Amino acid sequence: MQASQDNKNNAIDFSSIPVEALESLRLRLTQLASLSSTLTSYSEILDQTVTYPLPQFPTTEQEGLLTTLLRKKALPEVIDWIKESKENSTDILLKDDEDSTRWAAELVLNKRNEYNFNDESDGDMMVTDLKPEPKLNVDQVLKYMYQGVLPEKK
Amino acid sequence: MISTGVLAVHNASPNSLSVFHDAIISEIPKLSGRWSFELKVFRSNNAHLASTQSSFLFNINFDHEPSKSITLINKISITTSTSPSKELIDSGSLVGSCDPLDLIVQSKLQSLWLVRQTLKVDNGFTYEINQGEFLLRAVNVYLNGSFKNFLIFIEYHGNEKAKESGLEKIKESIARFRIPPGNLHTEQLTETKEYLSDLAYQTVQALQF
Amino acid sequence: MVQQLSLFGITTQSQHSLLIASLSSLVGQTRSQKYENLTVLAKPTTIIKFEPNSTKQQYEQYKIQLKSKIDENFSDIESLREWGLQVYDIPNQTVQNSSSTKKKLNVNSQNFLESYIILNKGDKLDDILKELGYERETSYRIKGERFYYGNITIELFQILIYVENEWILLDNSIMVKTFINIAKITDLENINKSTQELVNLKMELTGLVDLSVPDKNNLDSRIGLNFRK
Repeated sequence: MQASQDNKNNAIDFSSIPVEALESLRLRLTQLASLSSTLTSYSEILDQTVTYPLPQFPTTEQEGLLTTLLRKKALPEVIDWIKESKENSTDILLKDDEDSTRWAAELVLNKRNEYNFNDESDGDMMVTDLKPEPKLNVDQVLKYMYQGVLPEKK
Repeated sequence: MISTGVLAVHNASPNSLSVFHDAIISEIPKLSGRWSFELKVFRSNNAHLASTQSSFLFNINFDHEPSKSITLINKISITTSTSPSKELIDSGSLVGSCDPLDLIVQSKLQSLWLVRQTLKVDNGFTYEINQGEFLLRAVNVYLNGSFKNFLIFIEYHGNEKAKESGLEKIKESIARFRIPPGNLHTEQLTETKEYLSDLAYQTVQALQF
Repeated sequence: MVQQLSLFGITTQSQHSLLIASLSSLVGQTRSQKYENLTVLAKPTTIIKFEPNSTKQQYEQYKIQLKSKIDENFSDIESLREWGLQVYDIPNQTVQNSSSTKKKLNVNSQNFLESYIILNKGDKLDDILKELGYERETSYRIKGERFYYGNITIELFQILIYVENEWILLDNSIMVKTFINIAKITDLENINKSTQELVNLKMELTGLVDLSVPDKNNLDSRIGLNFRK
């Protein structure tokens, strides 16, 4: 309530902002950014580096730590994060939506036809004003062309 | 319009050609190289044809018109050419790699026509007389290695002043150039002159198939 | 002898402008080349019955196609004095590869012979056919447009037939034919290259028109097949 009243007075109350937590987050992010850039610049070396425990390493007692350290694959939860973020960021594939693609293409053509791009008009030679669906398939048309035979009417 | 006639020389021998050659030289002709033609004779693959149909199909290709060939059945002549017009190709009527018709008859119409003999008539002479007013071609015809005929082809390339004058000129030329006697064939296929078709028809007539 | 490699497809009239626009931009040709011809299909006057047990030599009989250039105002077949005559073999099913291995073709491959015929004055096409031992069976008009893409010719066409004193469409479809002609049928390298070119075009046009190898029996111009069954 008080805040909204203060807003009206054009004064902003910062008292409820967790400054310390934000500052800590900012610091972490900076560190992460620094780590990320360091990893990137050494990625080539890191990719080629083979890591193994020295003989002094207490393999038996610290087995858990060892496997964590040497783990190459991301953790299952990390894989899930990556997958989730990929799904969210990928563009919609046009081919998954053929109907809207066709609609858009036809709209563009129709709009384009409303304008005259060529000086001379070149009448369409083909008959395209009729739109009933074709009754013959490729093979039936070819059979007529080469043998003069039309499919019998049912 | 070129007028043509084909003469089958009477009582000819293989030697008649050189006798004629020596005589025609006195006209001081322009000799324009060797000349030849090829004649394919097809016989109807009988019993399948209607009775009105001819039992022969001839196909002639003359050396001086190498891209064209003439197919004759009865008094119908079909001219085929191996160089088609671009118009026809553009219209989708042809792809453009044309063969003479006899090749199609020989390979795809065997149920109707079968080749009986192929005559390769070569080593003929061409004489151009009086600046091309007359063109004579003389050639010996051999059939299966034995002498069959001595043919003289007469063409009149001059101007025709009156009707029939081309034919008259050809008849006159026989005496004028001391051409040996024989059967002269000047029949035209139709009322209008068709140079190559008429020449082919006259050739077949002269060879008496 | 010509060997033609081809793929066929069919589309609807409503897809025509979309297809034309797509092809124009694919091949970089702003305007298609229009063409029109009349095809006369002729069959032997006498059809010889195939006798399976006969000792006599028997010959295959073929239908022949005669085609001539026409235009919008076409009315009289006698006015056409130049014709292309074609006789088609049954399409090849396999192609001989470099070694002796045979493999199934990805494209239609058909051999044919053609002749260019010039009619003499006064002669009628029907008379010529009759003397050859043939007769007219049917005729149809082809109206089409053409694009060139590399070595490929792309043709879109419609067939018109003459019914009750007028030319009408055989069907409301538009045929698509893509082909390459091989001049030398022994030129294996060219055949393989051209086959690949056609297959690539088929991929290119996926979703727009479905190009395929038709049933070869429909491109077979031999007759007497009915007697054989």
